[in-house]
Amino acid sequence: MEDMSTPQILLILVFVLPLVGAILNGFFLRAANRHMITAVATAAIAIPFVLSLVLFLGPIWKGETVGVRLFDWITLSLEKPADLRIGFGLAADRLSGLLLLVITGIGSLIHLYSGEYMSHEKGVYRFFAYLNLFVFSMLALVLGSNMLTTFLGWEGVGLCSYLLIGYWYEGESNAIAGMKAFLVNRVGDFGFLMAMFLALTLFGTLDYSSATGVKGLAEIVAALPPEWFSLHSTTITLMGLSILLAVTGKSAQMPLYIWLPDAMAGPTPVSALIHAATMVTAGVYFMTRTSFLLVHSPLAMATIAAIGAATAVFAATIGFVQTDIKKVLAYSTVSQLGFMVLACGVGAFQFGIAHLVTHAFFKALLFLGAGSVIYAMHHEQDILKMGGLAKKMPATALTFVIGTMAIVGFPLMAGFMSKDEILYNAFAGPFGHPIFWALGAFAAAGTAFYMTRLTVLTFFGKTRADHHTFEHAHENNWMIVLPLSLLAILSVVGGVISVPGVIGELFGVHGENFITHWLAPVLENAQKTMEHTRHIHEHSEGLEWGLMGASVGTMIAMVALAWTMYRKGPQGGERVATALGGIYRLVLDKWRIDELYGVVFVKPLQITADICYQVGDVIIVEGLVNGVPRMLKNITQVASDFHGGFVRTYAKFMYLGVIVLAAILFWSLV
Amino acid sequence: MNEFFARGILSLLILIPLLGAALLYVLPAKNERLQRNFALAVALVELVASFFLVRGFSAESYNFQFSEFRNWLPVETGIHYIVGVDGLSLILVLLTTALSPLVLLSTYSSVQKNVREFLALFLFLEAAMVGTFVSLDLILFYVFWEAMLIPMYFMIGFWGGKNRIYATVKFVLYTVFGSLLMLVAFAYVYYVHAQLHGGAYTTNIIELYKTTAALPLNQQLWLFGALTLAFAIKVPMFPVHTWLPDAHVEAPTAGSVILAGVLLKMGTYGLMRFSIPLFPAAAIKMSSVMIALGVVGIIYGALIAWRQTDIKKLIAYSSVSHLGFVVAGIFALNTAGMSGALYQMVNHGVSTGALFLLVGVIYERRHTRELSEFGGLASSMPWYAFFFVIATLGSVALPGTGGFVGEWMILFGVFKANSVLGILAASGVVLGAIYMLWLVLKMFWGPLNNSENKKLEDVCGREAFILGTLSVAIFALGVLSTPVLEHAQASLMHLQKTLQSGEAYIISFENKNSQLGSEAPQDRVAASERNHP
Repeated sequence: MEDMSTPQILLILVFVLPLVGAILNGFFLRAANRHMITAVATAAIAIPFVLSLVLFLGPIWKGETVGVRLFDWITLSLEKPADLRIGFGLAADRLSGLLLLVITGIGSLIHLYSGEYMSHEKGVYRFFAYLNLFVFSMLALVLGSNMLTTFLGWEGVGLCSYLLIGYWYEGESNAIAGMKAFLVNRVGDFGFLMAMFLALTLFGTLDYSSATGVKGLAEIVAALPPEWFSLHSTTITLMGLSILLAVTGKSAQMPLYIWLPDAMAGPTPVSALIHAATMVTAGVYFMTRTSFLLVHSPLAMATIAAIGAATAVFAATIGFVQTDIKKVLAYSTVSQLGFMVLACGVGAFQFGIAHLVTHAFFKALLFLGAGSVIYAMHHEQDILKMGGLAKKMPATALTFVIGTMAIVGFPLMAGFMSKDEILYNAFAGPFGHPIFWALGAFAAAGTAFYMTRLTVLTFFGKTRADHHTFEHAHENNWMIVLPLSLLAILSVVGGVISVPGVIGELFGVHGENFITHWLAPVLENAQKTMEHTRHIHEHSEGLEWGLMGASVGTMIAMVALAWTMYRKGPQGGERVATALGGIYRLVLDKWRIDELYGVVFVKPLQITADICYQVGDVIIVEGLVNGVPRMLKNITQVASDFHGGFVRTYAKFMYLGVIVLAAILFWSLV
Repeated sequence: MNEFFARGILSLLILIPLLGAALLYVLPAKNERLQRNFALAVALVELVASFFLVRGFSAESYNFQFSEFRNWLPVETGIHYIVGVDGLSLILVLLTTALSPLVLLSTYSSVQKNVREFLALFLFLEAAMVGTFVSLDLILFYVFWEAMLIPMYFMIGFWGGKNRIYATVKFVLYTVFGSLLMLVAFAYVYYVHAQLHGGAYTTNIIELYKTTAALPLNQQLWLFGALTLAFAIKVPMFPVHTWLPDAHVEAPTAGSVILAGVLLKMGTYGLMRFSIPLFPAAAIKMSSVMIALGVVGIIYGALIAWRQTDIKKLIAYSSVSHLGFVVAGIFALNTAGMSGALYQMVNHGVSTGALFLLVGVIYERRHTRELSEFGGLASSMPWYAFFFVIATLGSVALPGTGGFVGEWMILFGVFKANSVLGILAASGVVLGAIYMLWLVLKMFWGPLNNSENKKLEDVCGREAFILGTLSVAIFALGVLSTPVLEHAQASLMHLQKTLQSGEAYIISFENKNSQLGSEAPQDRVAASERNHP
């Protein structure tokens, strides 16, 4: 600890400053004015962003891993051959480094934005303390050098999410939404625990790599012969599925996605930062981090891909019919997360990460844009009561349209680049299959439709807002517009990190694209394994052009369809809805999955608990304990007040019992 | 000075509170303030004295340290005054001496009638608790064990709630029932040792360890059963837990805190100090059953806690669930499980102690504990809500809190011993969050509708100090597990050795049987795998 290098010190500062911000705001700035609070909170994220940039462009760019072990966290003594000391360690490699920039960069913008968005709230210190604490936890998640440290972040972000969803705790539904998020995530965390236990049992360590001086999983796994994996294939698959369970919780995949739409009860900047750009993508990060293990189980990989693809489609269908601007974006997030999970499942981890990054840009932009609208419309969130806002809020409208173009995959924009690579790999990747491509393409088409519908209903056509609200709606100040503009730029150019091969060729760039090259050291082991165990298709330009053409064509068709349907307001959609009848109602009710879970899980658990209490504790155990003396009392007809008599017979019975038991014991022994 | 401490500090730790209790009666009877301050001062002196214990303790040795051996009863009985600490008892003694001053501080407002008697009883209880943890003689242990009952009996029976008589009787009878079984087992061990050693009687557990470990397996099982049932009642384990909710609900706040914080650990401590090392072969044989009972306790306790409408009863049932973790960890019989169990005893003392104090705070203000009376308290009592949420985080074992480290180690230990039971135990992670978050939701979030709650006073400085100290402890324990558990490492390692010899004993015992024609059971291999990962 004493001779730390400059990068190590920088890394610790990056990690600790958000916590300092949280403590300052939470304890010392409770009475400060909101400008002070915003400034401290934003600085606590912006300074780490600058420091992260230094790290990123310095050692990380060169391919070094900056690792530091802070202290021994859990020591399991006596385990042979030596004590197992699980450290609290940080490690920034190329994967963590990239995410570090995303978290602190977008985090800073959202903190700035929140300064304005939350300016009318009382007790805003609480909001910023939570938000800083969230960034701290998120950094622990991506910087953790072992699974245990990651888990601290993993549950820490869950806690902050709980607190922020329920930020307006006076509304009970908000608090319930927060609780639901925490509990559903805990189900996933159970999977994380199992993954840790399996890793420890199989490999004797939780460290990912040797970044902090301990032999890590990556090295151990790489050194094992193929026979070992065929011998332990069941356990490895179980581990993969445990990881997947953890991912379905945190990254809102089927069947555990149900908490995310409800999480929209939190303030909109929270939705942008936590429920779109960072926290919910933690699962994708974690799968990439453990990719060298996952690829050893084709069954786990197939399940991951299937869950991702199914979630992408399923959530998109719900997105078609939602009328709350944030709910549409929420289901869209679930769907896009499905794409990322699909990417991991087909073995294209780097494009999962690329999409994570570009999605962070455009989805944060869309949420912040939605927030800008909501803020201007005095907390109106129903798109049926909007329309025509482009005239009132040109900057918001323009950036929102850019965000929409990015997410629907308008050629060359950020979402196009990363999504195209995912779709190609879903078809031809190491674990790809045309079915995965078809599902992905369907979800992408759906995205084009519902996002266009959302944009058109919000910003174009005649307004359906009441006269007063509409007249008073106006563009927001720089604290809101600046983050929107920067994110809009990133949504346009951000795709440069994962330019598809054929597009690169057009611009005279050959070979692998940036993200593939960048993450090569991280994914090295997984790649090697896949090359050995999977049949990797020869890259085909024709196929890539074909798939790309198909998705661009579909996208344009869907955008056009949505445009014509909703240009004049929601009536066009309503006609279709009426025609669909029952199906429409079912989708509008989100397939009634929450109700299903209520009947299948919650209610039975409640009934079991009631039975345990009413039957188990009150009748059987208590009945036995109280009933026998009571019976004795009746038999012996003790005439005395209830309590006294009861106590005495109780005592008599107990002593009698003890004597009998003692006699039995002695009898059996002597 | 050092010499004096080394030879007499444990007796001193027992005597300080006793002396304090006596001296309370020298103070002016009318001046309750002075009495309170004096009792607090005594508990602080005790705490400082216990720090010397840590300073002088050598973590490398598994031997009992600071031991004292004095004649007590007539020499030919073989019953002596023997005290000493190893890593296990050291940590629990510290838990006791650290919690006591905080609890006394809480009684400044919660105890208003017969103050002097309450304080004297409390100090007496502290002496008995320390005595129980440091006794190395069966009879001495038994005396302290029973002595703890007396103050608890009066605390609940005299300062308790409406149903206090019922609760007291139930509490005492359950415990006495267990104690008598314990006494029977002790008596048998005492008798059999003399039989085997030419009439030399002893109750020194260090000597008895050797005798009992060599007893025939069926005898070991019976004795283990008797002793373990006694401890199980104290823990309390499912299905002998039903005295606990009543006792907790009726006990005054200070009683609940010390009950949850320290007294329940007497049971789990007993398992680790007596049941397992006295009868290692039996412990190995019974480990799956005991883990399973622990797991049932985890799930059953959590489910019932969720359906309670009385806040205090909810927390009480949560103890059944938490202690289920501890028991499961102990009977995983590996170091992960046992260190986790020991650590979790401390964490549970801190976080559940804090929760009972928090219940006391609101009860003093509203004189009700019905969940439906509350809601939206975060608006009227923000600091109270803050401390409550921190204690909740400790209770649900969020990483960063001590509870996480303890629970994680336990779960890993159980998983290694028996993966199916490990998975079931881990479901407690979800269930534990359900009842605690439900409690927080119903108490703190939502609109502040009940007009009675609108003008409630937030925590005062004294309360904030107590709760703040415990909150810091919750997080400090989250990062300090390595230095804390280092103190117990040698003792736990020694316990592993005992278990290994227990295994060897089972193997030889079964070989003997198989030579006689019966078949050797198959689980021997499984047992040795468990302890040699």
